[in-house]
Amino acid sequence: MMKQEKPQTHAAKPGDETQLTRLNQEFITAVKTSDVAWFESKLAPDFLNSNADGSLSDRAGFLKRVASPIQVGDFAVHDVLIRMFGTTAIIHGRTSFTHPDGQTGRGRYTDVWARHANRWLCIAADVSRG
Amino acid sequence: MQQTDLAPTRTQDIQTLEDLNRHFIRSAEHSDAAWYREHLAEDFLSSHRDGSIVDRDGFLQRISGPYPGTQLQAVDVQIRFAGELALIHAGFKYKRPDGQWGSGRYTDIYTRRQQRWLCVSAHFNRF
Repeated sequence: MMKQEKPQTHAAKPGDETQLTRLNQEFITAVKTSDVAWFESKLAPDFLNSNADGSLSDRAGFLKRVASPIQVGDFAVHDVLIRMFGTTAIIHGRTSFTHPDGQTGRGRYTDVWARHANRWLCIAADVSRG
Repeated sequence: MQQTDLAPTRTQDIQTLEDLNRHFIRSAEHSDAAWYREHLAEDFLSSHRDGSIVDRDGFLQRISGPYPGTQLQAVDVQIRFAGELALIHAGFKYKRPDGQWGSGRYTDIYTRRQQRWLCVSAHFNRF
């Protein structure tokens, strides 16, 4: 068996984790409120979203999707984990929600952010809903 | 296959990541835990459609079980670089035990540590 290297999670700039915590919460709020303007200001030009239905959307496609009202209720996020990799970060989160038929659902997301000129932009998201 | 952020020096990295992606898929179908032990970072996390997230040990345990299908293959693979990370976006298809084709999508994230690319995150949706 090959020896595993120690994780090398590089030190972030002061305040990075605080910024990303806020951006993550804003992301969720923007999903719930179909706030396209927020996404327009926070998604990188090459943003890609892996959708819960197995399709892949580019930035324009995602903006179109998010403009429609969210199809689930009581959408909430739990167990958020932010991992720093220099000028990039991965955010893992768990979601809970209620389907239109009243059944409860759960899911996950993995977002990737990159810092460009002191601004964090989201470059990818992968969303699951079970 | 598409790649973004392509610098000439990335050519070798892309070839390496393409190989890693092929083996990731092969190892999933054939429950090759040894390959994953070699290529998953210690802080690897895997996110699943049922809302669960498992660490490296949990993933190795899951992957040791039989894959629920055959002829697993990645489709529409895209490799991108962002800072210290490489992102692999891809769809996949596989043949279910009932003979029907199933599909899904994944995002794998690698980082280079001590001259090796190691997978630090995987997110799957299988249908």
